Amino acid sequence: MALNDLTPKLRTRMNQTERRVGFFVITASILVLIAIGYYAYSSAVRKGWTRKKVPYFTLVSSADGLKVGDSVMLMGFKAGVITSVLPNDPGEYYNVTVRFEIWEPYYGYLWTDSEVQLKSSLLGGKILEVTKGGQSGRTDGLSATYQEKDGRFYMWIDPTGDEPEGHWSERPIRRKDIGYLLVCYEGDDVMSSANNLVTQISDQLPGVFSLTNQVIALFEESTKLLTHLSDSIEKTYPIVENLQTISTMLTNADGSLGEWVIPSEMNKEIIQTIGSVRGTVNTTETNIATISQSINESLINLADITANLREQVQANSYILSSVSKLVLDLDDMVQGLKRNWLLKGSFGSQTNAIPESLLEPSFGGRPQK
Amino acid sequence: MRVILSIATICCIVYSGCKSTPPPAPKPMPLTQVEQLLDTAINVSNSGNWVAAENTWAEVAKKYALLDMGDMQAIALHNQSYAAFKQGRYQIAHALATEAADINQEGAEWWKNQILLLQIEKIIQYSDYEQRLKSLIQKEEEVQLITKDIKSWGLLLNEQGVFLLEGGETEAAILIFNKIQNQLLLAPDERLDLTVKGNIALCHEREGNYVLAHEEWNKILQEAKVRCDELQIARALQAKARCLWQEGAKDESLTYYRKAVNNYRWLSMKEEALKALDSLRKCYIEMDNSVEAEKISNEIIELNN
Repeated sequence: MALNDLTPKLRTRMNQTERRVGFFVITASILVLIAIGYYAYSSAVRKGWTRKKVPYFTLVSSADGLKVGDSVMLMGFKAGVITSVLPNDPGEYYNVTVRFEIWEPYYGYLWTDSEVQLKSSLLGGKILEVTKGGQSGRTDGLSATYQEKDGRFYMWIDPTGDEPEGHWSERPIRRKDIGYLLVCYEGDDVMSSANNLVTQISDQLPGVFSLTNQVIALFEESTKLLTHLSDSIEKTYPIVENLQTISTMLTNADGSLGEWVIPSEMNKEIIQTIGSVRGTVNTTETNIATISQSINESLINLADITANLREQVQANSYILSSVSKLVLDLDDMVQGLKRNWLLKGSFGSQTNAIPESLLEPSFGGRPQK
Repeated sequence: MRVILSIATICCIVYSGCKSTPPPAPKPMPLTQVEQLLDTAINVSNSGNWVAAENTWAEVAKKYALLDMGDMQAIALHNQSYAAFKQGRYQIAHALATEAADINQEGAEWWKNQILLLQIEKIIQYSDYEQRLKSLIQKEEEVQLITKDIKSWGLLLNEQGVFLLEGGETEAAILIFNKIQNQLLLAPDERLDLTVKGNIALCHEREGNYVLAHEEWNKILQEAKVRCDELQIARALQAKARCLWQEGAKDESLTYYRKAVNNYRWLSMKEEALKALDSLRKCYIEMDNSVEAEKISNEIIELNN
């Protein structure tokens, strides 16, 4: 039905409705645009688009765990992002070039002795962390990596064979420039450290087994020693008898004292016993020396393992604090969701159930049986 | 235009959806503590741990008294009384229920206090029992309790029905029970419904109509099974045993008695288990099976200890 077919009253009412709808649509559109604008702005702030930034790069052996957009950390702050991860030419010593940008004001902390540390996370990812300059102990040749003049950035050129003195770049840096090179120190990741640990333990196992064998040998030697002693004691019986004869002879006050004291048979027995005991003592001494050496080696290996573990814990301290923060943030988020009008129904009642007075209906009557 | 309208609508919904209410103000520590204790009290009561329930409800009542929250204190006292009642500590239960009723003075909870007092007084054969029942029935008619709290009304009328049944006025009792059943169609209460049906079956037993009573108990047993009502199942098993004995199915009756005894023991209902065992013992004596009767006697002694 055409609009002209309607009565003037209806036409006026329809025009009013159209105006209202139009007003609503325009208002809603403005709100949408404002929302999109605000979202874009907050994203830009979050991603550092609104900040001044300078480029850096580093060289690593593997791109494993690194990806474009990952954060670059400095002193626990998000100081920038990775902008590219590219493989190097096959002939080059380092395998991968990682380019990243550092935001204002963090580039002021990066000096020529700053380093990049690649820390591994428990979940398999890696975190690129840059260290603050001036902490290497060096005093000579230290400089900031960039300086700003008239809103433009000039990069520090390190001394080379041709130019023994470092200097600022002649032209300001551009967007495409690769930036300043920071040396990267790659720590072992958790899995490889665990693997090394297992390898070390398995390497030590033969030593442990050998140690046990030596302990068994020691026991065997001790058993032999005891047997020898037993034999020796048996052999001393005649000596005791002889001594008894000597004492008898002494009471009789006849014969030569020298013959009585050490008869030739007793002399032989004593020499034999002493020789046997000396041999046993020598063997035992050798065994004990070997065992102490093995124990010493085991302790050194154990110390190595503990030191490795300590290094690993130190390297992962940042990850632990991140996990802790993540848990707290998650809890905060869930608490927020619980209060959302759309979602709060999914979390059930938060209040205690109102208690009721307990009461059972009576079941009565006195049956005959 | 439609696209813009849709986007605008979605945006409005998303905007309002993202908005969350501010977090509630934190509760004062004493209130939080008493609410935590209350949860414990409800849990131990639901699990039938009446010793723990009595102690916990006592603590809850004390804490509510400290906060001067009389209505909650009265509920806690009532439940403490109920826990004591379940343990057979009737004098203490009576005192606590009276205290709760004094705090409540009127309202739905007051009626529950009164019904609990009736149940306790019936057991301890208190002289005021009949007088209290009559005055409550009169008051119920005056205030039209049926229109205000149908559950309490049902419980009170059930007490009246049981009183009539025990006095041998089975016809009047059945009328009362039927009246409750009609109202339960409007406001269902499973436990009360099964108990009332059980009481009607008891009336039939009292009238000597064991065949009809047996039919009723069979229905109750099936219904209790569907509702997984352990107590009603045990009662129905015991009642079936009685009916079967009267119908001459003696061996079958013994089996049902034994089942009922076991169920009562597993439900920690010592008094009911002892009554069922005594019935079983009498059955064996009637069957001239002195050996089995002796065994049951020993079982009773053992359970009493």
